[in-house]
Amino acid sequence: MRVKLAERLSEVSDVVEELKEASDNVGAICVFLGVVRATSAGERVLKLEYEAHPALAEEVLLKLLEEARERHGIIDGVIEHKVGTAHVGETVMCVAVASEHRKEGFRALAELVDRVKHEAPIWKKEVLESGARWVEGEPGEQEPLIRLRGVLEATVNREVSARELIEALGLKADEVLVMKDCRVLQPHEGLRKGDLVKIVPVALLTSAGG
Amino acid sequence: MKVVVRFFARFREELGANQVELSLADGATLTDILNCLFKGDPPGHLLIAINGQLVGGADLSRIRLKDGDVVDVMPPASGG
Repeated sequence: MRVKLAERLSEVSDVVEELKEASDNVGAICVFLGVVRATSAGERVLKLEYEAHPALAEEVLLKLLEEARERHGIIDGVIEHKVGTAHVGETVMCVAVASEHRKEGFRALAELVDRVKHEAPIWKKEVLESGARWVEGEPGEQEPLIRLRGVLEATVNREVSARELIEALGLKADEVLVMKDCRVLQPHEGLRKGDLVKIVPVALLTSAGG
Repeated sequence: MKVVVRFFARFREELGANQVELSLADGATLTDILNCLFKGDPPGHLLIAINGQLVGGADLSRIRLKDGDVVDVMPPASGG
């Protein structure tokens, strides 16, 4: 497992070779590259500026990889992210995972990319023709679809992580807890078909005195 | 007690400072700091760390701060 925050990312071919060498059992390597688009909300992008928390960002990225290994059984993984100035067409993020089979690789990759964007203390400032602005979440992401007012009991019908379950319900991850067998699940923890869960609003716990 | 609050990205630019030192009453929590900084209306999805450890939303009002703590107040993540 390796992470890197740098002004210059490694060549993708080097990352792939590195992952191939992780084990003789590697049968699939999945790679995601994030690239700077020329437009944002219809405006021309001049450049992006990336800032990261100097110590925490790499620690969080490494934790995400470790959790992907536990959750999906991948063999190895690499996350590299740009810091500093990036121009249109430049690669700013590389997430790559090595696994025995493609299925767990695809799943781990999709989850990792999502978690890097939402959990790693890295921030992006867009410099547009009309001026500069810090980007904070995708449009429409701030308000949840619904706000849960009581405890919801449910049976899970397919394999899903606690975080995916919360998102699928249109809830905010920091406003509810997912509980199974009287234990609060971490966002990355998985649920299986038939699991009985309770989805509890954090506000309900607070107002009840914990 | 005194704690150092560090700011990142948009917060640093808007406040025009990398960090401030706050004098707080004993037993103060992270929620007290956020209410102080954001006039009682802290934005959602903040990232908060104490002494280099990220803390979840449910812990903000539970964790009591200690003299010398370093609190990082960070905007929502927007990498990628």
